[in-house]
Amino acid sequence: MNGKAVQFNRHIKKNLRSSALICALFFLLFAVKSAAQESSFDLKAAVSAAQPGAVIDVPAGVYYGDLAVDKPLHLRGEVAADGSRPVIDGQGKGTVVVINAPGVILENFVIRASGNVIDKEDGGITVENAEDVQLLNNRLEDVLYGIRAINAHRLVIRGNYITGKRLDIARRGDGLRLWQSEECLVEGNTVERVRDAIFWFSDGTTVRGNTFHDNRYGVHMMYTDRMTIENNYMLGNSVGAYLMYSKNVLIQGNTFQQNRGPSGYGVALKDMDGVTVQENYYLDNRVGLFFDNSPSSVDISQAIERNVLAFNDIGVLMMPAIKRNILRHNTFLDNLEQVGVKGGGSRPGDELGGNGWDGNFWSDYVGYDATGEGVGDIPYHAESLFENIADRHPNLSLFFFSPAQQAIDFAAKAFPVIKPKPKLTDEFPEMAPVLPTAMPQTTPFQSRMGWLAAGLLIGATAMFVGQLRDRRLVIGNYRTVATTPISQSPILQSPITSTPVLKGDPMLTIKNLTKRYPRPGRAWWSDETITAVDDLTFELPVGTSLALWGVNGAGKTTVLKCLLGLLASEGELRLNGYDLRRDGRTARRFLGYVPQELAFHNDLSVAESCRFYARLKDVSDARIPVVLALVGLTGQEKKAVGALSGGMKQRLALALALLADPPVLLLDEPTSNLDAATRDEFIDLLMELRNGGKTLLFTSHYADEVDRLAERVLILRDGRLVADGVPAEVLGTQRLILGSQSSRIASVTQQLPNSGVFDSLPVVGRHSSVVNYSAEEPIR
Amino acid sequence: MFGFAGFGRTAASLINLVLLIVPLMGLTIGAQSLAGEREQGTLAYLLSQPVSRPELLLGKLVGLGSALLAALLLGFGLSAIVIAWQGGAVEAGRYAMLVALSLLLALATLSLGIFISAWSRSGALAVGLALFAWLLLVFVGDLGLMGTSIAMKLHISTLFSLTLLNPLQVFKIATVNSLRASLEILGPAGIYATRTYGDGLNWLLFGVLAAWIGLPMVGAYIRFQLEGDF
Repeated sequence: MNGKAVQFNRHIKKNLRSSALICALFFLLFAVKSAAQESSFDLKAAVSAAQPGAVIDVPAGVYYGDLAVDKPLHLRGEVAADGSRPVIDGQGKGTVVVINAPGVILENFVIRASGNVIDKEDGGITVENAEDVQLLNNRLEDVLYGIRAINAHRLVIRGNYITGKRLDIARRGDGLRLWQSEECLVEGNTVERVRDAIFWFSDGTTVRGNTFHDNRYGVHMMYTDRMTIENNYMLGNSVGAYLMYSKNVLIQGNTFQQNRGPSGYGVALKDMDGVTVQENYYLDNRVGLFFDNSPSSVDISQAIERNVLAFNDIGVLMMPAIKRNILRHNTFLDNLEQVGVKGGGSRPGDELGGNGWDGNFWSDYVGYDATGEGVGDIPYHAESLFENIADRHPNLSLFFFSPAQQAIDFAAKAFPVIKPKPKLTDEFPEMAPVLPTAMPQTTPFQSRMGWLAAGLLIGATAMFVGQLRDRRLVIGNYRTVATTPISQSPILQSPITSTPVLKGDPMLTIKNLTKRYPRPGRAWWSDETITAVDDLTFELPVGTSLALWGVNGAGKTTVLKCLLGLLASEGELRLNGYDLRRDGRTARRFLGYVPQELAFHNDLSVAESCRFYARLKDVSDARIPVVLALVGLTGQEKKAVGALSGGMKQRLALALALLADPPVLLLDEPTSNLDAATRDEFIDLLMELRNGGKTLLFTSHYADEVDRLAERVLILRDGRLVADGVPAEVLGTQRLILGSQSSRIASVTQQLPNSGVFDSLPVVGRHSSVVNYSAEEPIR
Repeated sequence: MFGFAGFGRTAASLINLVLLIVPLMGLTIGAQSLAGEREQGTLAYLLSQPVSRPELLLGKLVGLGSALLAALLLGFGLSAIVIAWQGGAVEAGRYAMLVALSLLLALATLSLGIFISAWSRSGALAVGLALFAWLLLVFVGDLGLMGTSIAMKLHISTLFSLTLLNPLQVFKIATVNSLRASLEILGPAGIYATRTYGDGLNWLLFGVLAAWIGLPMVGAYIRFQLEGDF
């Protein structure tokens, strides 16, 4: 906020600060001086000796005990050059100064250390049965009560600073307590950390330009007519001003800020009549202005005008059935609830209709002003279903600021059946705030919320757009690219950062490998399974190559996935001495895997993919050009993987498998995506790798591939090993049988003994193209 | 100005916006992550590399979390630049707190999304479930709790505890608490929380958000370990 209120508040703040500084200074000074500088001047003697009407100048120093002033005297503390003033110290007993003669003036004293007895009202100064007394520029500290006045008409309390003992709020005394003292003036004082400033039966009293800070009630008054409360600043009290049972009170130009105690009102009016409330600021209170049975008389209406109610939890709160308050030209700015009904009332809606609401500014007004006269063309309605609910069930205020709250209000707007009656209607809402030339604008943080929101939306949009881009690449067209020949460079000469240590022979051991899947479509409680791999056992010595052969569904891929740990399985799996399950992470360092279905992150480029997997495998980036060259992908580094053809992806898969130069390669149909020419090159490369000492385990549909590449082939049928032997022999046997019998391998393989029987059969089909295993599987 | 800060409807709408958008971001990208990769086959390929499953899960959280962080920082950063350019000084501490809490919310919902993803058969199912979860967290849960509170006359402590189950509400309460240094603005339940937990409230709220980040990840891990097939 800025402008008038800010200046005012800054002013107060400055004063508070400087007075706190002075206070600290004084305290120090007195701590040093009090013992040494007990004044030789006898204050009590001087008072008793003085003639009525005399002026006594009291030198700085410390005076003890209770001082009674029973004749009209002007006691004037001398302010020393260092700013110190005379101190009257009550030594923790009773009331420090008691005045019971008219016309006494007490000026420039420090009064401290009263007694501590609540029911005796021990305090700093008591003025009793004495009129026209003036208390000026005194400082009261460490007192239970501050200034008490009983039958002290026309008392002037000006420029004093009053702070109470450091007590819990319930045990404090009042800072000011005026009882039956009419036409008093309380002006320019600062009162903090006391209970109340309370006025009883003190008609015509003016409270002006004071600061009430950290008290229970800033101003508390009862039965005090014609009171004026003007230009005060009430900050951080439980309640700013609680006014009760009085008539014709003017509340004007005050600022009530952050009064947020248990009741937490800026101003509360209880059984008041004829109150004028104008040009006040109510900022960030729990409730700005609270009406309880005010006005209480049926023939009186009250004017609430040109106030600013901003950032309060509730701007104006009324008990149900409050009537005859006329609110005009007030500014309701960003209160969480602009106007509320305490307890919700018995009839939802319309409890506030007995008041005048026309012609205020409402920050949540969504109308327009086509005629340009400064008044909205459609009425303002305060209607919110959630507010009504929260008025009735205050616990649900916990859900303020949540989308659910908005959902409730939205639902109320969409379905008029549940729409509440408006709490109030302003037929002529103003388009701009009225009073303040310098209205307390939104705080810096406030005004930036809009920008925050905008930024957030942009961030979210950026993210989702990024995701869309992702999708586009996935869908993206697979352009065919001229393939380059696969390099013939020997892979073992290429540099590599981490050379795996070979410690086991055989390289791969599989014992009793069994994999069972839940039977598809089984009931959830059933544990029916189908067996994909059944008790498979074999070993693979270092540097050998083995092919797994069988129809689709025979379990070839399943075996590879079990080895990779992608499928849970039973049996023993060891690679290079490591248990593939327990030490899978380490064991997989010795594996390069080319899957059958090539799946890469399509939005990455070839080079990015390589770098990503190089990091996963803990391999230097220097390996990347080597393996890319090896598979003939040089020059394709910048291409997105999603834009590669199937064949090029296959090459990429092999390149990635070779990144860490692993001793074992698992290849699942490694050439299935390649055209005939490339396939030959590819097989040559794999042969070279095998001849270079790699251990190969691969599955294939191609007889020639198996024949060329594998030293041994296992034939699987329904997950069981049905044949094991040298490819030429096993494959040849199959061709022979296939040719003479049926096309269904089912019948074929069932007749195959385990191994060794077909050794004498002739070798056929070397470099033959394709073997058709079953009717279900067409020729590839 | 004695720390005066307006906390009106504008602040409310910002919190609302974060509550709507950030969980949507977190849940959807989390949900797409594992289930989508599983569908594409990239998940199996990743797991065939020398990485462990916890590593992969954590990598997903960190990676997607960084993406969320970048998006949030982009959003909040742009705002900060515009604000500064307009000549206002950004209240750095408060601003950073809001960003930090938004990020925690993003991570919590991301973690929940990953959890959903881990247990879903397909990417489409995961995203559907994530949207359902979003609806549940944003609207249905709170509305249900409001109704329950009215119907059963829930004790204020019960109401507050139940509210803490929703990470969105935890974010909201923590944001209000950091902007206001108190929850009294949230009515009796807020005052109850402030009085009951005092300075511990922030830790409680941070703890709940941290649990919302951690527990779904544990759930996702359990799914990975229980059913090891990919």
